[in-house]
Amino acid sequence: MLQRLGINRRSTLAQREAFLFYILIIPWVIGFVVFLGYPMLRSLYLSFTDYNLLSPPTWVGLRNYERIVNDPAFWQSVKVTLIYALGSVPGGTIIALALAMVLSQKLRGVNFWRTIFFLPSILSSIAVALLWLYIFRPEGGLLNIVLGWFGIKGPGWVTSETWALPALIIMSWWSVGGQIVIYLAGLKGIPESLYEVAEIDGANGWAKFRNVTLPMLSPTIFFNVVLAIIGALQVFDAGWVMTRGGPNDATLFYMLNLYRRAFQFVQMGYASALAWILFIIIMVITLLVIRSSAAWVYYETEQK
Amino acid sequence: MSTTTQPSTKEGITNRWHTLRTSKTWQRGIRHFFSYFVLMLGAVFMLFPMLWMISASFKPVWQIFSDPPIWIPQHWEEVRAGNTNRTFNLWETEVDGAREKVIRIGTRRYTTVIDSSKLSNLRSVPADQLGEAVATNVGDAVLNVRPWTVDGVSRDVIALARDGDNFVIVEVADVQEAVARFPLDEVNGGGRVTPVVEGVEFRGREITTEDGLTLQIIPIGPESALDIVGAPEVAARATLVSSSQLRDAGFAEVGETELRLSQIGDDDTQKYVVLAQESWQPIINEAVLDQFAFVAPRAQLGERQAGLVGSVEMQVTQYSPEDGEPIDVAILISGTNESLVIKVADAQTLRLAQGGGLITARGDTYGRIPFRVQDGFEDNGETNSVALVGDSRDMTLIVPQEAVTEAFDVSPSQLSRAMYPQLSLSGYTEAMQTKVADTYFPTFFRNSFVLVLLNTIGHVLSCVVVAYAFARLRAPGKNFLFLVLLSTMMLPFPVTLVPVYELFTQLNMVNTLWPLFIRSFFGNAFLIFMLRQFFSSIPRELEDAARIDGANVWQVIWNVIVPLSKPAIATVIIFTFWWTWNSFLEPFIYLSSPELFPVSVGLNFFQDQYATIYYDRLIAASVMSMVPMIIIFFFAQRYFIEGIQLTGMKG
Repeated sequence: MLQRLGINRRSTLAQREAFLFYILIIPWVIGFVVFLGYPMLRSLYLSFTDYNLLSPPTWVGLRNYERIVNDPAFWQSVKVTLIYALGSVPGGTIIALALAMVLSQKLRGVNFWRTIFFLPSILSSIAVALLWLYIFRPEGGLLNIVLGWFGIKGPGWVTSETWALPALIIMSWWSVGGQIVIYLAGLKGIPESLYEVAEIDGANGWAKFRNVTLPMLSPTIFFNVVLAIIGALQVFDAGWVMTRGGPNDATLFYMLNLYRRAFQFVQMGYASALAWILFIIIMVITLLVIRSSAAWVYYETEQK
Repeated sequence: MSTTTQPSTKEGITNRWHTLRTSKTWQRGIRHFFSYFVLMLGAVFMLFPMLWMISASFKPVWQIFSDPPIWIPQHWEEVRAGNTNRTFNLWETEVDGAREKVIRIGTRRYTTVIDSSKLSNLRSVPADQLGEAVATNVGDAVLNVRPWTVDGVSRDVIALARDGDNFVIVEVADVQEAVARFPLDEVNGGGRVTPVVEGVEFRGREITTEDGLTLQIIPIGPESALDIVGAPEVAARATLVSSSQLRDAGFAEVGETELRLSQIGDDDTQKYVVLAQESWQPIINEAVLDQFAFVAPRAQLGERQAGLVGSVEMQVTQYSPEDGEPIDVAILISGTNESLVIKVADAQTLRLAQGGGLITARGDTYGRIPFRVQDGFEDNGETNSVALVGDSRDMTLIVPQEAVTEAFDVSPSQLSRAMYPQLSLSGYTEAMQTKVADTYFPTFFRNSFVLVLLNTIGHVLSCVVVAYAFARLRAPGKNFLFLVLLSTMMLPFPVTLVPVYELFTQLNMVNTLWPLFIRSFFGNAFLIFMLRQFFSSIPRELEDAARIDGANVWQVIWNVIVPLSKPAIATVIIFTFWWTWNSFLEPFIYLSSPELFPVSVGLNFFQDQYATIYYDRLIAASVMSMVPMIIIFFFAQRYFIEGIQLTGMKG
């Protein structure tokens, strides 16, 4: 009897605790359903319809997807976005890694340097774009003035079809401060003993980097690369402020194309289809990176 | 990295030990050098663009784009021209070995001439034996010197005339005594002559030198312009007269140069030196216009005539209201059926402004009558918005001849701006007063701060509660739900963009601030995750003590957990601030009324409207938009870093 009572009381307590748990997470559950779950399903549905917000959506089957695949602007936007990702992600990773490596040595004023490198990444993309627009100005822009000192006639950068995208890529390298912070923490986590062992084995600086630092840091690099790719594929602000997608669609990012369709042409069905294609592209690329990670990411637990 | 060397017991040889140590020190030296080099490169890339922009925000517009760049904001010294609102910039030049400040009071064109009587040794050579002409100084004159190459020997010559396919040339060495630089107007003023030298006929001019000699000269060029400069004090005696009143009064020697003189009407007792001839525009403070001007139908206005209003000649007429006495009015803006007028007595502050200071005027209307307004116009130490009224006219700034005691010619390359470092705040003050899409910049700041506040309240309330549940309470399905929560952090937002917009449209919330803060009350995966990690590290015993005292779960959260989690809550607030302040796409999509725009969207509109004319203000506005983030960053860098590390490492 007592025992039964005790069990009952404990189960009541457990039930009450579970009940409380569900009560407390209600805000998040509502948010999840209303602003995430339902919209995802809704956008999947809308992608098979014609919809202009005013009249109810009409089912058109796969026609949106057909039109997208036959739209040169779509392929241009995919091309531009992939080139941007291919430029900004590896470049940004190398810059962040190099600066983090240097900062991880016991140098004077690490905090000062870290502040300098981190600061640009917290600024708003609009202000940053305006800043670089000033640097990239064909006439009177700092970059072309500096190039002029070396006898190089700088291009029109954001007004040039060839150079607008490289300019945006260079700009993206400026905001790698967050990555530097993460790599710095990752480097601090590598046990000193591993380097000592490597030194006893006669490893020089490069060998230590190649055989100790890189493998130990690879999970962090992996995670950052995935996040950076996802971010690069969804970039909008910089392209909008600096070039509006121009000149002649040379910087038409995927999100710019989507924005045009959704909010300038009010083709919500078409835009939803674009969003789902982007979703699938991101998932596929992420999966590819994850699959390939077996080859280059080292997890400590594997060897145990 | 360890700098300790291996124990010496391994090798007992001191010599080798020493070598090892020095090579280590040497290596470390290289490594440090390399490290600092990379750091410097990184710092230049990361810091320099920002410093450059901050410096630009304190510059007037012409310094922002100057090439070569002006690194530190400068003030270009200036003097006022008489009692007008025009100023002359000061220049520095070398006068008798001392640097002096001068103003430019005109230009004078010169050309190089040859004294035909001193010309000899002419040759006629085929054109293909001559190289490219290069302007070269010979004595105080400039000559277009060409290389003449024949049989591998090259000589410097100048070409004087064409002779069929040949050129008539003379060697530079032979004409050094014969060339001189002469004012173009004097050369052109001489009579035409055709001197013949060694059988070649030239077109020349006959002039009389200061010594009374009559010379036949051949102008051969090149022409060059020299600036006439004078003492800055000259500007103070300047007066403004209508150009139509001035008559030409010939030339006169002034100082070391010659200046064109003018007289007013037929009065030849007083001669004047012309400083500048420009288009001037009547202006009146916009506030005065708003207060006193009114629209009068054409029928109620009498005959127009020219009359002085203040110091400015305007069209004046009589206005006869339907009830009341006729009054004298000045016509500010003339329309087809009605005109914008002002009582002459109210318009005494009407004045002229030089057209160059008014090129960035914006359009405005009074009733149906359009006019233009120049913001941030400076005169007499005040900065006002001024309305451009009446017609522009040609005006001339003159000074009495005797005021210009010293004047001389200098080549433009010998002049440098008289400047000293000074931060100009006008970009900032004017940016705050500039209308962006019918709103002013401070409104955008207010909106951003409102959104930050609402989002912060939402995030703190919702995330603390949800994170507590995930950190402390046991329930079936909790781990699964937590996994769902984590996976939403990686979800690309564009997928939900359209339906969420649709949702807010149906809720009638588009073009309100609601869509931009309401979601924060439903938690944020990133912040929930971060708080949960922090809560998990708080010992349970502290809660138990409160529980025994009879506290319920709310009391435990707010009285025990939250006070212990100040750093984590600070991180929530800071990240919310960061995201809200910088968010662009969503407010851009949801808002169409400028009075609701946050800073990011306002800045974007600022760029659209003013990037071509008010670049100084645009840059100042960009810097202002960064200031709150930079301040927070410097006070709370720790929280940024910890938040990023926590989620970046484990997400």
